[in-house]
Amino acid sequence: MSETEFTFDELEVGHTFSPLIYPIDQELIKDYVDTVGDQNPLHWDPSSAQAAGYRQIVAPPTIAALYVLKAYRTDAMPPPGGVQVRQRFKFYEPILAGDVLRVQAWVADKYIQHGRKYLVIDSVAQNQKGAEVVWSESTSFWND
Amino acid sequence: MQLDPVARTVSRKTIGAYEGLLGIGNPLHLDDSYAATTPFEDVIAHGMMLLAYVSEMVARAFSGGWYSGGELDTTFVRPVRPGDTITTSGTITGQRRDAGRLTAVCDVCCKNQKGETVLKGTASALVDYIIAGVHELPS
Repeated sequence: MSETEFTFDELEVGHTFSPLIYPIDQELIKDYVDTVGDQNPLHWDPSSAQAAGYRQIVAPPTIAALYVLKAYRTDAMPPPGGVQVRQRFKFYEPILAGDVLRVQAWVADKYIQHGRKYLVIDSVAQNQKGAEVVWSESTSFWND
Repeated sequence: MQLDPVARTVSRKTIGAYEGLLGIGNPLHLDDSYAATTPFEDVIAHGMMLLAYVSEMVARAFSGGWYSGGELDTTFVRPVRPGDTITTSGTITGQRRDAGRLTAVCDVCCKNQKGETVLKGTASALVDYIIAGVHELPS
């Protein structure tokens, strides 16, 4: 990951970041559910997942948090001190262990309000079959 | 109709582990000495981590309709500090019908042990295809 920083001023609405390739392996799912404490067997037991109609264990959809925040750090880091205020997700398809995601992020909006610089960054993740799996929108601000 | 709530205590270790999963290295979530110099005065949890609790709660109620067709829109209201116990709750507020599919819409929120809201928003999940008759939301 680059050590250079991008600045609020230099980003334009519509700017696209280099895509992120993000594998979702069984180990990552296990670490994620252990950290957040989600014991749903769909996330760790292959036979439970198969009984529910999935061919592999299912990742909790919010594992998307791990890659959407990285997807706009592919070229440079955001300036320090950002505070996230809003997160929107749409989950189109389940993400299964073994999937490899391609995540494309872009600047959807930017504005200044009450002395704070806001960036709205959208991203779309596709799986290895080219199916769109998650849409994300993250809104963060930096103090002026 | 209430969803079954989820209660979790967020330890300093959990906050560090989540930052480790993210792999971004933000000292606000990792470094006690650095965090002490910020307005937050201590490490804080990622707002995003709270979404895992919301997802757990909604998945328990709607399962497949959450993994394929779920939507979330959440605002982070207050920071979550090490040792906070977060209770995540939800209420089904209504339903919408679109192109032959029925979606349940819920208000969701996360509160800390003082009853302060740390996250609020909405979640929706697909319930069923509308073929005929009246479809019951889960009870």
